[in-house]
This record gives sequence, C-alpha cells and structure tokens, in this order.
Amino acid sequence: MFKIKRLIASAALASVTAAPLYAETLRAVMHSDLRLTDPVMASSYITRDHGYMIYDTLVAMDENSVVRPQMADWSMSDDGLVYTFTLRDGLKWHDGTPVRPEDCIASLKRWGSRDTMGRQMMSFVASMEPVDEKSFRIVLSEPFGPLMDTIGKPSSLVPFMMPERVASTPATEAISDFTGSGPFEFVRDEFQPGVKAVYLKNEDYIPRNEPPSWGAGGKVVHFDRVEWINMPDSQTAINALSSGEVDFLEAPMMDLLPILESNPEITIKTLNPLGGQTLARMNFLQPPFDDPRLRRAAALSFKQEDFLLALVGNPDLITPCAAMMGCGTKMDFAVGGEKIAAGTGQEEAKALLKEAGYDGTPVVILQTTDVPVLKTQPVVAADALRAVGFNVTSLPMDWQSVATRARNKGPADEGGWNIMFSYLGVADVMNPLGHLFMDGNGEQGTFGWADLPHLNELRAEFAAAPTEEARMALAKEIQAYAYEQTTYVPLGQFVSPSAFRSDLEGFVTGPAAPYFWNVKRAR
Amino acid sequence: MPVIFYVLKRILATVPVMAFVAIFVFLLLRLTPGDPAVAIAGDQATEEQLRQIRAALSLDQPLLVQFVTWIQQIVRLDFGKSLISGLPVSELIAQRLEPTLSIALVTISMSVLVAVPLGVLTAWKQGSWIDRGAVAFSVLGFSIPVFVIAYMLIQLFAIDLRWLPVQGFAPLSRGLGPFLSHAILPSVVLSVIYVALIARMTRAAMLDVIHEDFVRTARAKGCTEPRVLFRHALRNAAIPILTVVGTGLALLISGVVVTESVFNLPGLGRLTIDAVMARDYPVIQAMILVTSAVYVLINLLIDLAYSLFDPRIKY
Amino acid sequence: MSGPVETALSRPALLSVLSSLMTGRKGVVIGVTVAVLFAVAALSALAPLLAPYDPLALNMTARLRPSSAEHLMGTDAYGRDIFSRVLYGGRISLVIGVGATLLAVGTGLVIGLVSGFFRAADAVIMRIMDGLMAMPAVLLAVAIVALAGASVGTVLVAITIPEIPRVARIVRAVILSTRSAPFVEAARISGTRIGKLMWRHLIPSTVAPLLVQGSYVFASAILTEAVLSFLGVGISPDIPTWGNIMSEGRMFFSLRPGMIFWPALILSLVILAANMLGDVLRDHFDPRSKTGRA
Repeated sequence: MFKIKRLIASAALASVTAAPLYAETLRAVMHSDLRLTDPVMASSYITRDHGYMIYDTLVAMDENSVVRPQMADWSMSDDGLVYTFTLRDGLKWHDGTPVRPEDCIASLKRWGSRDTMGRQMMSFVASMEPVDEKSFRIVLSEPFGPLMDTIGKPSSLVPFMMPERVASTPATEAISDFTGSGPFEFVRDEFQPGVKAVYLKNEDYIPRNEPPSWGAGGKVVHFDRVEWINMPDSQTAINALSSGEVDFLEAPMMDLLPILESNPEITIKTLNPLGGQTLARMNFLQPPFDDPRLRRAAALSFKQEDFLLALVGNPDLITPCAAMMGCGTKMDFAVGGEKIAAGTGQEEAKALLKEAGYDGTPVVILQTTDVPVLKTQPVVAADALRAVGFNVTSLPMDWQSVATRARNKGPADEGGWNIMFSYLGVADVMNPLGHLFMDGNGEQGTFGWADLPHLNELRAEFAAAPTEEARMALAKEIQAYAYEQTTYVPLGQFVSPSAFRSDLEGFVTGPAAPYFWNVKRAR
Repeated sequence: MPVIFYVLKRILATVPVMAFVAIFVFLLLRLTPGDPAVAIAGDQATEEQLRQIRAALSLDQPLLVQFVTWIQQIVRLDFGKSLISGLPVSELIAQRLEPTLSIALVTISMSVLVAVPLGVLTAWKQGSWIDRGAVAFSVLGFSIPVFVIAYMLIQLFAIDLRWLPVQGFAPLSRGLGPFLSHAILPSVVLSVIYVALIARMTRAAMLDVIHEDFVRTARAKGCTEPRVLFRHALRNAAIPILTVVGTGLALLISGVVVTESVFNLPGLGRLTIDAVMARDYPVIQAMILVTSAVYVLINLLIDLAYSLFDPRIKY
Repeated sequence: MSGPVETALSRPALLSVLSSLMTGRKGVVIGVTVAVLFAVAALSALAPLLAPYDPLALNMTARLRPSSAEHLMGTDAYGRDIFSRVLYGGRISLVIGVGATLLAVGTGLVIGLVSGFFRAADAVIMRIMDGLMAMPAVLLAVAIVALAGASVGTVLVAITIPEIPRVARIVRAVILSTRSAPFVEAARISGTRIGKLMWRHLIPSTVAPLLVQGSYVFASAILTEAVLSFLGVGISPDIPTWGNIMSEGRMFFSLRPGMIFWPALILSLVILAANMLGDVLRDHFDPRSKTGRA
C-alpha cells in the first residue's frame, strides 16, 4: 500500500516537473516588480495588476466607461436606495469552495475602509446583507449616484473579491492567503519578490460569454503559465525581448522605442489608451504656497510640453492636457487650465509674484532621484520656477524619503516641503470623488492639505446628483474652482506603449492593462 | 600557541564584530528618513491607517524595545519577516544565495587563474613590453565603468553573435551548459576588475621579494626559473595577494548590484538595495549580519593562511 | 640602517630624488601623466570660460542629439550640452577622487599603523575594521547619503568610509611582516623611540603599497560616485559629475553610446595617468627593486 502511494506520488511529481516543458508559458516584464501582494492594502499599480490576475470583480467597466456584470448582475430599486447583486452560477474559489454572498460583503467592507471612493460610498451605506445563497443587497441611507462607478472602478483600489476568511483581515494588515476566484492562481512557492512572480491558469474558471472589453467580458486564458520577470535595467529588458528570452515588455523606455520599431519580430502597441497624468502638488500649509496667488503663479510658470518631453521624449505619445479629470474621459474639460496646457502663463506668473509681494522665501522641491517616471519633473520645474522669479531649493532624495517627507506638515526648512511631483493613471483621476488631489479636507486630507470647504460642498453635491448631466456640470465647476485654488497642477498626459513578440495576439486594452486573458500565441 | 586555540579565540572575537555591526546598522537604519508604512500603504492611506500599520508591524515601539526584540530573534536564528512582501527573510535570502555564490566563485577562480600568473610574469619581466602592456590593460580594466564593459560584451556575444543569453541566471541543477552560458558574461565583466586588482597586487608583492637573498639563493642552487618564481618567490609574496583575493571574494558575496542589474541576476546585492530603497528593515538587517558573518569567516581563513605562507608570522 | 627610503624622505635628499626622477624614461612617464592630470584639472577649473553652454540649461527641443559642430559630444535627455557638462563634471569628480583618496589613505594609514604596531589595540581596531568592511560598501553609502542628504560632502564621506578598512588592512599586513624584520628589531632593541621608529622604518615600508592602493581608491571613488548616481542616491542629478553623466547615458546606451563614451574616456585617461604615476613612484621608492637590479 505504502509502495503504491509512493509510486503515485513520484509519478505525480514527474508530471509536475515535466509539465513546464509542454505547457505554454508567457514571460512578461512588467513596469515594476511585485513586492506588495495585497491589492486592497497597497495602491501600487503592480499590485493592482496582480489583483486582476488572481481575483475577479463583481462588476467591471468596459471601454465605453459603462459598468457591466462580471461575477454578478445587479438591479437598483426605484428610489435608488437598494442595490441587489446576484452572483452568476459556477463561481468557485481556487480551493474549490463556492463563492458566497458573505465573501463579497466582507471583501467590499475591507476595500471600503481603504479606497478613497470606497470610503465615500461606505458613508452612504446603511447595511450590506445576504439575501440568499446567490445574492446580497446594499442598502443606502441616501442615494449615492456613482455607486456602480465606484464598485466598478477599474483602477486602484479595485474592489477585488476574496473569501471571507481572507477579507476579514484588518485592512491595515497584509493578507497572506492568496485564494481568489480569478482566471489565474498565484504560485506562492515560486514567488521571489524583486525577481519573479508566477501564475498558473485557473482550470476551473468559467469565463463570461461576452467578448472582453477592458476588465469586463469573458476572461479566456490561453497560457498555462504566466511569469512576471523583474528587470531593473531598461536596456537589459529590451535586449531580452529582442533575443526572445521574454515575450512582453509592459513599459519599455520610451526613448528606446525606435530601436524596437525597426525589428519586425517585435510589435509596439499602446494597451492603456488612457495613459497617465503627471502632476505637481503644493503644500497649502507653508509659505510661500499658503498664498493662493503664489500657487497660481507657480502653476502658470510651467509648460506642460517641457515636462512631457523630458519624461517621455517622443512627441507622438504626449498630450498637453488641461483636464484635471483627464483628456479622453467623460469629464474632459479645459476650463481653468488653458494657459498651463498651452505653456503661455509666464508673464502672468511674474505679475502675480509682484502682486503677492513674494519675499524670496525659498521653494523647497522634493526631488525624487531613483524612479524614472518621477525624476525628470523636479528638474524641469526648478528651471521653470526660477525663470519667473522664484527662489528654488531642490532636495534630491530617493522616492521613499520623498513619500515619507511629503507627510511632514512642518516648515519646509524643518523637514517639510513646498512642492512635490507625482504621477497617476488617468483611470484614477477620471472621477472627482476618487481623485487624490481634489479633496478639500485640510489636515485630514491628502498630503498638501488643501483646506477648501467649498470644494468639499461641490463634491458632496456631485455625489448626490441624480443625473449624468447634473454630475457633468458639477464636475466642470469643481475643476474651475480647483484651478482657481490650484489644488494641484496637471503637467500633461502621456501614453506608454508596450512591446511584445509579434507572434502574440489578442491583447485586451484598458486602464489596468496588460490583462493576461485573451492573449495567445499565433500558430 | 596551537592553531586550535587561535581559531577559538578568533571565533570568540567575532562576537564583538557582529555586535558592532548589529548596533551600527540598526541605528543607521532607524535614523534614516523613510517610513516602511508609507512604502506599504501608498498615497491613499490616511494618517490613522498609517498609524495602525506601524502598530501592526511593531514599528511604533521604542527603539530599544525593537532592538532587543530583534536581537532575541537573531539569537534564535530567526530573521523575522519582510515588512513589504511578508515572506520570511531567511526564505528571501535563500532564494538569492545560489546565484550570488555561483557568480562569486566563478569570478574569483577565473581572476586568480589569470591574474596571479600575469602578476608573476610582469614582476619577472619588470619594465618589459609585457609588463607595460599588462599594467596598461589592468589599469584600463578598472577605469572603465562595469556597465560599459557589460553592455559591450552583451552587444557582441549575446545580441550580434547570439552565442550567449543576454540576461538571467540558470541554477546548476539545470545542467552545466546552461549554468555556464548564463554565468560566463557576468563573471568575465566582474573579473576585469579583479584581474586588474590581483595582478597589480601580485606584481607589487613579487617585486618586494624577487630580489631578496633567498630567491637568489634558490637560483644559485640551480632551481628552474618557474620553480624559483612560483615556489619560492610567490609563496613569500602571498600575504598581500591573499588579502586582496579574500576581500574580493567577500565583496562579491555581499552582492554586486550593478552587474546583477545589468545581467538581471537574482542576487543578494539587489535584494539588499531594493530593501534599502523600500526601508524593509528586517531584510537589510539580516543581510548585513549574514554578509558580515561571511566576511569575518573569510578573514579568519586568510589570517590562518598567513601563517601557512609566511613563516615569519606566528600566533 | 640608512636605506634609500630613509634618505628619500629627508629634505635635501628629496630634492635630489626629484631631480633624479626627472631624468630618463621615468621622467617622460612622469612628465606625461602629470601633464594629463594637470590638463584635466585645468580644463575643469576653467570650465566657466571654456564651456560653450550653461551645463544646467534645459532645452527640450534639442534632446538626445548626436555629436555635431554645435554640440561636440551631443546633448542629453534634457537637451543639455554634454561637452559643457563633462567640463563642469570634472570639478566634482576630481574633488571626490582626490578627497576620498586623501581621507582614506590618511585615516587608514594611522589606523593600520596603530593596529600593526600596538598588539593591544590591534584586536579591537581590527574587529571594528572588520565590522565596517563586512558591510556592503554600496549599501553603507546609500544609507549614509539617505541619512545625511545628498551633498558633495556626504557622498565623499560615504565613499571614503568603506575604503578606510581596506587601506588599514594593507598597512597592517605590511607592518606585521616588517616589524619582525631584522633592521626594525635592531632599532627597537637599541631603544629607538616608537614615534621615530614608525617615522623612520615603518611608514616608509608602507609607501609603496599605499601608492598602489591610493591609486585604486582614487579610481574606485570616482566610479562609486557613478554607482551611487546609478542607484539614484548620488549627488543631485542636476549637478554634472562624470558619474551622473554616465548613469544617465546608461539608459540610452544603444541609442547614444557617446553619452557614456566621452565621460568614460576622460575618466579612464585620468585614472590611467594617476596609476602610471603611482607605479613609477613606487618602483622608484622601492629600495629592493633598485639595489637588486643589476
């Protein structure tokens, strides 16, 4: 008996070790390496992408910004206060147990305590309870217009569904159980932070029948195994793609794209059509930027095109854009930002400096030096601010020091700061409620601490607005006011194409692309 | 004193070294700006959530308490868990050990095999064109940045000729062929510096002894020239050479972050630098302690070897 | 005991050594290397007069240009003139190279001497040196720079600290084998004071290895500065240093190899000159190599 068991075991082992030889493997180099594996606790984009591999969502937004059913379909009561979600048949966790409404409620609660939009939604929620084995409902205390946009939000933080035992982990502690119900399973034993993450096809996953569109539709997996390989050196990554050692580069360095373009074995394609928005945030608490005129002057000194060229290089990939909520989105308005997008505000900036009686208080720039997507903005900004008459001090430091120091409310010369730079996916700015730098919560809000009660009133009206038209009008008003107060400065929009071996086809586009379903190797 | 007592004494002496390292690193890290909680939670976290994360990771405890807790863990050989990935630190280090050791050993063996004969030769033929050529080559070797040499070799051997893979590491378990084809380029790149360094030191040390009486005596007794050089002179010139080789090996084991990045080797250097950048304290602390231990061990071996090579030194 | 080393270090003899250095093939090597070093130092010092462009001026419409009459070495990703940046970059890189060498050799010599000569202090000092050395140099540098902020001073200190134990160990190794040499024993037995003993007999025997090691520290300091820039914790990327220019060029290597080639060329030239100078001096000061040559 014992012998037979051993035989079976060794046979099983042999098949496991032999499997990779025959299995279809996709080797991808992502924009960064996966370290944080809890997509509700961490807001980094690579963690979100990891989430899309192993978890599924209740609903998902398609390419027309319409929210579609994914794990569940839903209905809304006429008064807009009760939403009932019904899970589709055959949903199973990776451990084989069925997905229950209780799991979804626990997942929504955990996410709702972390996500910016989720927290606002939760303040409208009176209760969430299971109805039967397949359905549950969310009961609101008053109508919350963007509820489906919130639960269907395509980017950080995405409300991924986890089993109740996992979702009951406090939101400030990282999960260590990676059971999901998504199209891939995470191979914990092969996970090497900083080196690679490995995913196997979830054989039990039942895709929807609709064609894929962004994160919505059928997630049909054609690869048995997907490996995310980290390559810290952009030149090495390009070499590895050229030699066929990897299949896919999510974000090759854009200045090097011409090298890849000349290679017929490699295809270059923009998978995230919305792209990213780079931006500047000023500290409202400390001089000189406690004065709105000087904030405005700093904003007007900037030329978006300079920032974009330094960051991206290729003029075909950049869009100077005044819309705080992103160009090419539903709420694409120019109001208030025309001069900044055009880069013609320098004279007005000088005049404002004079009018405000700028006394030469140095502007302390937090200069990130180790993250390519963040390190060019401070250089360009220092140049622009000096040109209109600001006295500038750049403090070069690594990103972790910047991120920590950005939370220091003190005077700039005592460990604080005046201006810093960041970057957000457009999917994360396209709704004023989810926009990190459009809150008016003062010292309770996002670093920079804009204390703008009127902005919060406008946002509350937006949340309660019953119709799309009303929301659009309010969004426009929010942007005009945000520019007037310079809650932050959009520095332009850009897309970052991916490069892959030309025998790959079927990549789905979207704000959290690359998605690894639907891709296959052409025969 | 018998060697065994000396060894015991030296092993005991590692305790203060490690203690110095432990305190130094702990303080340096905790005084460095940067908050792991921010690294974990990102922009969206509220102050309250950051506070809770710090509490969950015991980062809100007084420094002394944190230090004592850590030392207690270390004594039990428990390095704790990564603040960022949540994986046990020992597992993270184990993942990176094989690539690092492989590259270090291949590099140092190659370097010694090339550099020591070269150094002896150049000392013997001091002033000749061989000497001049070798000196110029070795100087050039460590004046060109590692990544320039690396990119040039990759371009030639991996991209143009396609003889070797451009990146990555293959464990020995995948066979000697794949192992060597992945290890050869990074080792050659690293060797350039070590060949230069060891050859220079060999030449300098050989010059110190080559004209001494015992060498002349050996020659007069009719020993062949290679025997004179390698048997008599090199043996007496071994101390500085050994020092350079030993410290070189220790440096290679602590990680060579640039080469690891360019060749995408999952080695200890990148583990450490990534941890520094993310303020992943337990990983950094453990890495420092482990590399210190390796270093101390290698030094003990060097010191023991001293007495083997140079009878003038006694313990 | 009056070997050539001792006479070499007394004042009138030094002059005669200098004049003897200036003759023959050695004189040529020394002349050329010193000329190269002075030329590079002078070019860097005169950068404001020589540079055709402001090394900090951005020009987004002229990014990543190849070499041309307008931009001798092309432009970088911000459209800054690389030739001007290389000229200015020499200032910081040379200051770091020279500064780190002096600091490391000076400190290491003292520590190595004390440790090699006083057996009582040896154990403690060498354990601390072991400790410092055991810590990966780059990590130590990264942590120090992160702690104190990235300035030329902190980068200098961060680069120097890991070099000190190396110097100290080599000095100590030499002292250990010299202190039992008959002439030192004789001097000790005859009651020579420790200070004099060191100055006359022990320090001279460290000159040769220190010249070799010093040239290595010089090279390594300039390159470590580049690695720190490469890791994003060097001197502010706006300030041109050869390291900064190369690390930025690293990203564009296959597109514009010149961004690395030019600073690397000048850097290599400087290090080559420094090392050849060190070697010649070493050969000259070494008593055995002179007396022994028939």
